[in-house]
Amino acid sequence: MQEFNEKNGFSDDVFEVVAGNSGQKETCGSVAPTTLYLTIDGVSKTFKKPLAALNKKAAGGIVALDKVSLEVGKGEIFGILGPNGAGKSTLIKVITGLVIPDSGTVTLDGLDFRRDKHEFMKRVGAQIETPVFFNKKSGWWNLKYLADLQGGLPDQRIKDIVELVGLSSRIKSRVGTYSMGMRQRLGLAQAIMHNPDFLVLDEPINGLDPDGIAQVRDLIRQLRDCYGTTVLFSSHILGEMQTLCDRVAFLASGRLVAVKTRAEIEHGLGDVSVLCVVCDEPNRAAALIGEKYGYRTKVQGTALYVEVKGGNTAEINKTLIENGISVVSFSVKTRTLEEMYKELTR
Amino acid sequence: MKGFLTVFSLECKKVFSSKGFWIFAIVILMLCLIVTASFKSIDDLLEGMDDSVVEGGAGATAAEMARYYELQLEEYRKAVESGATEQKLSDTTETQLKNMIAIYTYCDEHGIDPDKLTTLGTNTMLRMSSSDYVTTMTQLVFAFVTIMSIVLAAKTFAGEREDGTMRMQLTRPIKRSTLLTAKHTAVFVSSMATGLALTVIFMVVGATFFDASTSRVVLVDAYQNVTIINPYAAILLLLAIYAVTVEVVVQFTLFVGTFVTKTGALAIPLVLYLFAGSVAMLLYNTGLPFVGLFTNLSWASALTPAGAPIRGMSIYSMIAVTLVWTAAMTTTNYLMFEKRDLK
Repeated sequence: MQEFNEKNGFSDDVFEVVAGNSGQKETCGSVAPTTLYLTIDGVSKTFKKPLAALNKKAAGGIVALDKVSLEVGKGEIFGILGPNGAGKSTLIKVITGLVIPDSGTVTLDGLDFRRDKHEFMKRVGAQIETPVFFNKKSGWWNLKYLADLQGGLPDQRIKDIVELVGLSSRIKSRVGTYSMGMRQRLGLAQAIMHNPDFLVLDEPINGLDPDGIAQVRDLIRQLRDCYGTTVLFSSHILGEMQTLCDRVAFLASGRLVAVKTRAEIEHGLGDVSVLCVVCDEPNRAAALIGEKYGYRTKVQGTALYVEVKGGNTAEINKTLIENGISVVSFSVKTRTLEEMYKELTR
Repeated sequence: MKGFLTVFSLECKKVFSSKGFWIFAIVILMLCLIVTASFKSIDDLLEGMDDSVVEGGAGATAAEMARYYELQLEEYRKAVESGATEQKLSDTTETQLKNMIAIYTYCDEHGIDPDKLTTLGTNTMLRMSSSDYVTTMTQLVFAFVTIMSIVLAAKTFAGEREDGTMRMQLTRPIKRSTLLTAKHTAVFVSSMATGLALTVIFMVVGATFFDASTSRVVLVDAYQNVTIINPYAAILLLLAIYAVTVEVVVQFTLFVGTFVTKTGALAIPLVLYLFAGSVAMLLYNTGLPFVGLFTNLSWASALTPAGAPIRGMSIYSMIAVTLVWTAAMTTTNYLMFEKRDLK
């Protein structure tokens, strides 16, 4: 955020608006989901030492999640982006019930996790961190074991899923002999084999080759399009988020800093861009723009920086020329996703 | 219930399909067969000897033996009264003497030859009957089976939690409490099944290679009531005692596994199991009352002529202590598993 500010000559307050980082209210996404499916409401979690954990009010510990609230719509592909230690995995573990939050609720399709855990988990397929299996057993044995825990699945169904994730040739080998990518594929197979309504994937494309990444991407899209599966996934791979997700949440040190739609991400800037105008009368230009459009401006020497909402930069140029201001240079600064990620998650 | 049965059968399948389990079971079998060979060779050696040599103090009647122990007890009491001997709370000398008097008086009254009686857990230089052999082997087998149950419990609980495979199981629609109880039951059942199978093998070995004329087993309780039971009833009694032992050990391993890593969950109960006996014996001699509570968990001692571990305590107190211990462990394990983060 600050980096971007300095580069463009804006003060901090201006950049809060640029990044859409002006408090919790705006973080729940500029486009509200059509039908609510998953609701995370004010979830907080602090990891404490075992004995200190007995006393909920005791101070100290590592804050993993700080009042995170999210809403995911039915059939949405929702991404979670953030640096290491941001709380992505903890959030996913709270959703899947592995970590018990200190406060807040998680609701899926009207089912509260604490009260209706059984029904809740029936709808969920999850792959958490690097999938770990019984290494001395075959991939098939592991899938069969997990399917039985789920209540049993026909062999044919498991076979089809194995084929779908591209593991048919090695499914009878011991998991201990699998590569990282193959484990990820097996992890994906166990998550989707019972056809869940809600798929939670934690870094599903780590360790996959380009072909594998494309396959996973296609698979997630296919699941959503054919079965209406809602997908929540976390990743470090920004490009993947941009192409796959309908919306992306940015997490930083346990706090949700922003939720952006794909359109916003694709435009790099979202609906806010920064205009840099070098002209002979920057102060007059600033007053003019402020009066006519209500945009925030800042003058530095002969340069004028304007925070523009929407895409009417051409109109601003026209207004300046019509008012007799000679414009030396006129440039629109857009941010890459990487910049946005760095700023938001700083 | 359906969830419980599913997890239970899957856990049992996991145990019985693992190579480590079969290696361990075969090692126990081989060790016991080596012991059998040594028993058999001693037995063959004794076969050719004179009866009076083999039976030691043969010649004295039961009444004479009872009188002998009565005199010993009188002497002991005098020593305590005069202050020459300090009487401890967990007093074994007096109990043992009283037990011997009770056994010999009983034999005298009922016309039983005391040499034909054996006690649980004691080996004499008498010739070994098949039932003596089986009770001895059952105790040996279960010493190993208890170690096996510690390994299984540490592996299935702390082990799976640590290597991450439990995560996959927890994200299935199964209650944590169901997962815990089913895993616990599976460890208990598979350990006991192994012990029972080996006991049956040794019953066959015993009937084939040792004297099948059965001797009888004498039990003395804390109030010096004497019961003489069939050797097969004694085997069942031993199995019941070991079922309690395995259960207590499994619970303790699960309890430790909640707090520490796999290595700790394996090492702590194992060290306690292997050395607690010796430590308890040292503490036992101090005669402190709390030691009585601890040794009350060792059920086998209540059924041998050594008597109750603490004066005035009976088998009922042992049942009570064991029940309280079990309830406390189960509740703690349940709460710790239910309310904790399992990352």
